[in-house]
Amino acid sequence: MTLNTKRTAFAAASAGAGLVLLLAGCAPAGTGGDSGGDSGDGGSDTIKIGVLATSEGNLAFGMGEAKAAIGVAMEARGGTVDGGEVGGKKVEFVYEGTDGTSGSAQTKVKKLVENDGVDIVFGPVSGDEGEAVVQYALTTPDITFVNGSASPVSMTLEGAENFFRFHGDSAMWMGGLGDYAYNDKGYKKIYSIAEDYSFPYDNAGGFFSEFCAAGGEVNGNSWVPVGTTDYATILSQIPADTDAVYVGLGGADAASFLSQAVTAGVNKPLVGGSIAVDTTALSGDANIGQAAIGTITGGPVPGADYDNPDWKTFVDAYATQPDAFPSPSIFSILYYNSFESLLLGIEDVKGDLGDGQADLRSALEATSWDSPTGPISMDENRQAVVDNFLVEVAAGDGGALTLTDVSEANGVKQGTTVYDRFDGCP
Amino acid sequence: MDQFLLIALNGLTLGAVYFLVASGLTLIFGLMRVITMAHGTSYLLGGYLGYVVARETGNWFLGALGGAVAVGILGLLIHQLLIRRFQDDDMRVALITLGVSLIGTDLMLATFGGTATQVPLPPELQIGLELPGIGQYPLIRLLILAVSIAVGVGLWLFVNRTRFGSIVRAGVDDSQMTSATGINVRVVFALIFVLGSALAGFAGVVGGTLFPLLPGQDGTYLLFSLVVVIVGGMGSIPGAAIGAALVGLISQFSLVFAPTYSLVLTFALMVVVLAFRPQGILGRRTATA
Repeated sequence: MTLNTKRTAFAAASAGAGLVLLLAGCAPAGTGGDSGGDSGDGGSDTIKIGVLATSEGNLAFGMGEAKAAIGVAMEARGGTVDGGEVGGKKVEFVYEGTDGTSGSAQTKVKKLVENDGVDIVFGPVSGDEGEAVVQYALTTPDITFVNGSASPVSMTLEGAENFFRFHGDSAMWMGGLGDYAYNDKGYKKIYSIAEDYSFPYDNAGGFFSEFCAAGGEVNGNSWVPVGTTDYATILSQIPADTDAVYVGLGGADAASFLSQAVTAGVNKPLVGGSIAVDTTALSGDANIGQAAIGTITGGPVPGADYDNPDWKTFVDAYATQPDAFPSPSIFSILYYNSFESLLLGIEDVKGDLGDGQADLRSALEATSWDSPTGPISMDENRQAVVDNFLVEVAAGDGGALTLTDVSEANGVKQGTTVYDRFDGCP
Repeated sequence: MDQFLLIALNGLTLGAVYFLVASGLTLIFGLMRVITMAHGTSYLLGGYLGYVVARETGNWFLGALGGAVAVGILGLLIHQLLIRRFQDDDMRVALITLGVSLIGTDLMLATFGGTATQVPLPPELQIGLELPGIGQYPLIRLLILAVSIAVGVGLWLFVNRTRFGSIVRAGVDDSQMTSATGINVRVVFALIFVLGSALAGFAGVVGGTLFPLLPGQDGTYLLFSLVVVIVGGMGSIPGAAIGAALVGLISQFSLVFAPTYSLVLTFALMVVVLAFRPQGILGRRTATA
């Protein structure tokens, strides 16, 4: 009797643990699927857009930021985050949350296309997810894919003619920062700490290729698994003679690193990857000011003092969205620029998705408009040509941390180098 | 050498957090054999509640108390309303608690949002301590190690040296016989469940002081505490301590020497232990063959 109970107890525990593992891979994030989805949509009169964004893991705020971006664009057209009218057609959304891994993105994008029957997929957030979605796009030529914020270089070099990215890749985001770090800041040796996946490879690769070309030296790399929360050991690896530390971490990982750097008394200047010192990290409760102030970084997010009326309009509209951060994060900006580009395309063709969405795709290829972060146009790979910003973290009013502009680069084009994990200089 | 000591100390202090989480699970799952998949949810909820209380009152200890008490009471409700009727049906209990954890995870995401939060710590404690052979080391990590050793010793004394502890062990081994001696086994089990949940809530506040609280941590800590309990031996508190130390050390050393494989190595530990000692390092071998 006892033996029997124990055996079943063990079986149940293993089954349960298995389920947890399964959920960790492809969790049914409950924030998704709260709109649309009624099977009786009126066919050609309704455009159904499937939205992919992260709702779990270290980028769990992604879904909130995606909805804020969609809210801003739809409210400007009299609609809401649940739908509205664009180009004379009814538009509705199906939201699906992921956990930021390629496995969960693949499951959810298939669900959107094959079960929900969406016309257009909009998303995803993270780099690994983006690579999975591009591969899927290659197998479903009838659906148009508009990227959310995934930024590995390779995504627009795969030849998927139904895939559009209306923002820069992660190597483009670092443009100018390597020179600035070496020449203006005078950093000769930099130690690199970055997450071990596609986005930081390109992001760090873009930075270090420029930094090394200027004459800089990399005195060590730590590639840490995504979701690492304990940085005590990593912090102890930083060599004493390094001039600065490159932090290629994002979301919760960046916040943990910064707060533990303060506790451990690390006083090296930091160079941030494009999502290391963004508003999501700076607005958290953790005590990171001491580590974060003076950090330089590059990316598509302008500093608070960026002078552009379209930017002010966007920031004001963003602030009215539920769960908005003190200022828009990189994710809401990229999702907004991409989504607005898509809506402009739909309006251009008056909602006509006929002929295998050919007209819509031509319109998207010809995209050219002044976004809140500068002009967006497209190259022949359906990859945007955009403006890029170098910014520095500073203490703002009342001790809050803000980003101030250092310089901006106009009309940045994509390169062709795809970076992989590297030791030393890429 | 310094390097080795430092990583070892980091591993032990990380293990201390794992032990605090797993100590509740070793009571509920290891001792009482109730499969709870909601243990990680209790951890995260405790952390969030502790965060709210500590932020509002400015007192870390009130936060820890609030997190532990609230999660303990919630554990009592879950046990009385959902688990008690099916206590002998393991598969059903596992699925019920899994459901509770999924609902809890989404409710917490809706309430506390998706960004990382951390339980605020008094600035006096955010300092380094000079250690011989290591140098500056964060005081908070040493305090957590001390707290966790104190909790471990206390629990061991409670289970093995008190009358209530022997009632619990008797109730687990043969609940009918224990009832026949006039002891209300149901009340005893309910109390153990409350204690186990409260420990998870407390661990959430401690863990949430050192590491960020965010969606997904619930699953991570559930997995790690299952590994700790299974490696250490079900129901054994010294076993859980050894398991937690091993998991902490492996994760820190692998972060330096084989970062890509750090998660794999943690689970490899469980595979190796189960292959050579299926009952866990300090687990009791089941009597009948």
